[in-house]
Amino acid sequence: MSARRPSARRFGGGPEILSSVPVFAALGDETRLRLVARLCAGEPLSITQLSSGAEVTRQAITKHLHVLARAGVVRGAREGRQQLWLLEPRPLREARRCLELIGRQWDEALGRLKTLLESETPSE
Amino acid sequence: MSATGTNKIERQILLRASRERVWQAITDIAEFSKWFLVESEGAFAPGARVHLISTHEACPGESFFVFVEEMDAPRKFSWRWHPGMKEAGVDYHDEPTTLVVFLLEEAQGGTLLTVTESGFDQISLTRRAGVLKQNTGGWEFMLKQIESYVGQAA
Repeated sequence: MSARRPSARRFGGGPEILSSVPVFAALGDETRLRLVARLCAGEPLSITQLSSGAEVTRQAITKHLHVLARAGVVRGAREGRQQLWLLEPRPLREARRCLELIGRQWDEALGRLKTLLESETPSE
Repeated sequence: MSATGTNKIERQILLRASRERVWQAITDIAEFSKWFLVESEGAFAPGARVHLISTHEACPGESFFVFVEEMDAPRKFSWRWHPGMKEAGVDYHDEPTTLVVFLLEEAQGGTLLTVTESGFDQISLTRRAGVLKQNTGGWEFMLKQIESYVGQAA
């Protein structure tokens, strides 16, 4: 069942990718997270829509959207005279996949730990 | 803190062994090497930089380091390391690390071990993509999951 295991590095091998790409810290901010959450519904939204109910100014929202855009998490699109914002699902999906993969390696490692410990002759 | 579910991994496992025994299996480097599938030099100690070499069939010989933070026997063991990437000739010294924490709690029938690895949101997307590159699995459902997860956070 473990014929072709996906492998990330330290437990498994690492494909090597270089980068000087902006970090994903883009999500480490509550306002930005909220924006991403709203865009997750899939529908493109305007700044006005994205600012409604927010406790920060439109300018601040715009700034946050640009941070997200630089990280590749969202992108802007024009519709007529209006600027709309959309989610780019791929970065999030990949980030999530990455964790799943590393999590699976932890599962395997912990499974081996369990086997090691529980195969011992119980002494007490 | 990450409503996108992208910052942290957490796993729990009940081990039918005493807490002292589990502590030893995790922090004694000879024992650790057996289940983590590595060869090692040195020993785990607070502040130590420990060199490990993978013996995993997927990447034999791959070399990496862990930077031990805390060793509070028999309760907590933590280290930092560079997740997901290693390019020959590249200096990762200044790259962000993730924090790995082993927490050991006494539980009915043995020891409850909780492992968390956190700090992934500081790691660049390209790096993360590198971790994924070899992965052949079908992950479509993960997209749905992240979307509904993030949706709930709204």
